[in-house]
Amino acid sequence: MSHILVIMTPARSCETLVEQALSAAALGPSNGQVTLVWLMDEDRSDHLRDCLESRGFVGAGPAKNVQRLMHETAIDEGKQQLDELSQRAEAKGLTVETELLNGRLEESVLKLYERYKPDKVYLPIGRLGPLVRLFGERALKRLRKRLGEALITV
Amino acid sequence: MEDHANSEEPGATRFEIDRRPLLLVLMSRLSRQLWLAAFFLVFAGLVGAEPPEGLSVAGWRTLCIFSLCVALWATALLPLAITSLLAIALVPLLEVMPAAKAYGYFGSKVVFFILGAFMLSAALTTSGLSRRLATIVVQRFGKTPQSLVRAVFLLCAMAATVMSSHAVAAMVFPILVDIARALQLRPLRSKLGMALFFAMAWGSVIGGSLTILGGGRGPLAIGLLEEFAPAAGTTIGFGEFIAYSAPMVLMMLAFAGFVLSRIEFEVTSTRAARERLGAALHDMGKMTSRESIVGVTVLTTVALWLFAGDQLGLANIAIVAMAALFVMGAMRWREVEENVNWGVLVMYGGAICLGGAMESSGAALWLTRDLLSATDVSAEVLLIAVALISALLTEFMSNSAVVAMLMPAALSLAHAQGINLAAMTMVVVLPSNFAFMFPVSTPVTAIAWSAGYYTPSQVMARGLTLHLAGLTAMIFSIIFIWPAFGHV
Repeated sequence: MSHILVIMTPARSCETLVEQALSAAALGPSNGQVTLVWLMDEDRSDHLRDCLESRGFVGAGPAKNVQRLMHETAIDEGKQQLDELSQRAEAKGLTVETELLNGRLEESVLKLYERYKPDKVYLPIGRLGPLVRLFGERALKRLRKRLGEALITV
Repeated sequence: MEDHANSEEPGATRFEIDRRPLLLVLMSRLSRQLWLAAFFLVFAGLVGAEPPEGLSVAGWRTLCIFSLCVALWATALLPLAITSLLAIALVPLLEVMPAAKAYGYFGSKVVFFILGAFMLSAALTTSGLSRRLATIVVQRFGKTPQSLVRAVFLLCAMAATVMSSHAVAAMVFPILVDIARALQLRPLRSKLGMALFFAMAWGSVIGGSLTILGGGRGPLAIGLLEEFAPAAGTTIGFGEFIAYSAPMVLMMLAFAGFVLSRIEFEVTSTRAARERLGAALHDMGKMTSRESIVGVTVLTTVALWLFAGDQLGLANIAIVAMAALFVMGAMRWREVEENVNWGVLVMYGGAICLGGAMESSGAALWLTRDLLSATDVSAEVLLIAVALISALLTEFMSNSAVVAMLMPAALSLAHAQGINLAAMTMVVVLPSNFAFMFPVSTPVTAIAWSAGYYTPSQVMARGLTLHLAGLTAMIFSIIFIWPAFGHV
């Protein structure tokens, strides 16, 4: 049975990624399994918190409020996406498991990889190079080394 | 669906062995410390070296401190405030100037003006007045998706002329999240969601350029200007700042409004959002006496800054206004503590000290005289060149750091070339606010990013367009508008 792990984050649009992952899973054995993960990337949150608190005039009170709302919005979107996507995957005859978690991109992907031992890991990729830390470019580089061909970035 | 607070199983202990070579592991774990050590080693080496010809030992050491601070501000390896404090300590330690004088810069009236302005901004926020006004404006004028985006954009632009743009964004953000929830706008999918957060960020950034209340960049630059030429008494008043910035701000507002109007929305009605805002207004009840006191105080303060700023002093007006709010019981100290970012005040104190040391030690003059001695171009070309540098740097580093970094050299250059010092100050300050793309440059952009409604390509394409439009407006002002009013 093939197992595909799809990692989505609030920072990236994941529609193409999910589409490709589900198609790949559907092409495999009939009882293919997909694990959909919505990862609340702490690296991104830390970076935004740093930009908010260390570089301007936003006091601790408003900054916390912004961060709380940011977190709530991302969690709501994650839950909604996981619901929608699991229905889509089930309609394709796939076995689906969903998970919503907090964690750092690199650590979390490696832990999920260890836990599920998937055949493929689908991960959204940033296209801005080292200019922006929001999309985990550094983590991606290291993940490519560790996971090799199992990692597919879209 | 599983919902983990983190990815560890409860009670489970995981050990992971990092199998990379020890040197690589140490370097990856200690990269920040290694970079810092490298910076300080280079700094120590340079301080011990002989100064170049024509530059005093004090000037050379100031230049070394300045370079170290620029490197630390740009890389943010240390918090901006800590870098500034380090600068204040290094100046007397390296015998550039006596400790009393170095630490005395922290008492600059500009630092106290910023403190007063922050406190007033905090009063507007904590009293609930700013949120009430914002909700009323958006609810009344946001009858269609297009007019909703316009209302948010103009509201933020106007509010940022009396409050710091960061406070405006932090105030409007929860209202927009409410609207997005009511209209079920999905992050990274909804064009209206994207446009609303663009409108918030762009309105705050552009409106915040109009007055010195829009952020700390203006007051910081004015502080550095006053320290540069204390004898000449050169400064920029509240009204004069507006006279310089208004042409560019108006052009930018028109352009950004046009860009926003080109976005097509997937939503046709804003009724659900207006109903939710109406309910929120109902819950707020009638305007409280505290809100009235804050409103009248802020209006009076702005009027005094505009019409009596030169006679009474901007900082004095700000502090007295704040004291008045406490006397009338409209403000509590705990609220000030929660809403003012003290680190930024520390950063500004250090930056002003460093600017003063650059000027008094002759380092700034040497830098511009020797490096730019061959310059034989018009004042306009030099002003445009400085504006370009400021605009380029600001997308990648804090705009306050850009001002602190560029001002000493820019003022010396202006002095050497006989350029109006106020004009030079403005070409550093105004473009330093062109932060439309990356969250590192200003918290306003960081707040907009936090919403999660942008894709990188959406923000890059439009942000770059606005950035270029801002530069064009700046160049147009330098060449055509400022000379017509005798500002160059």
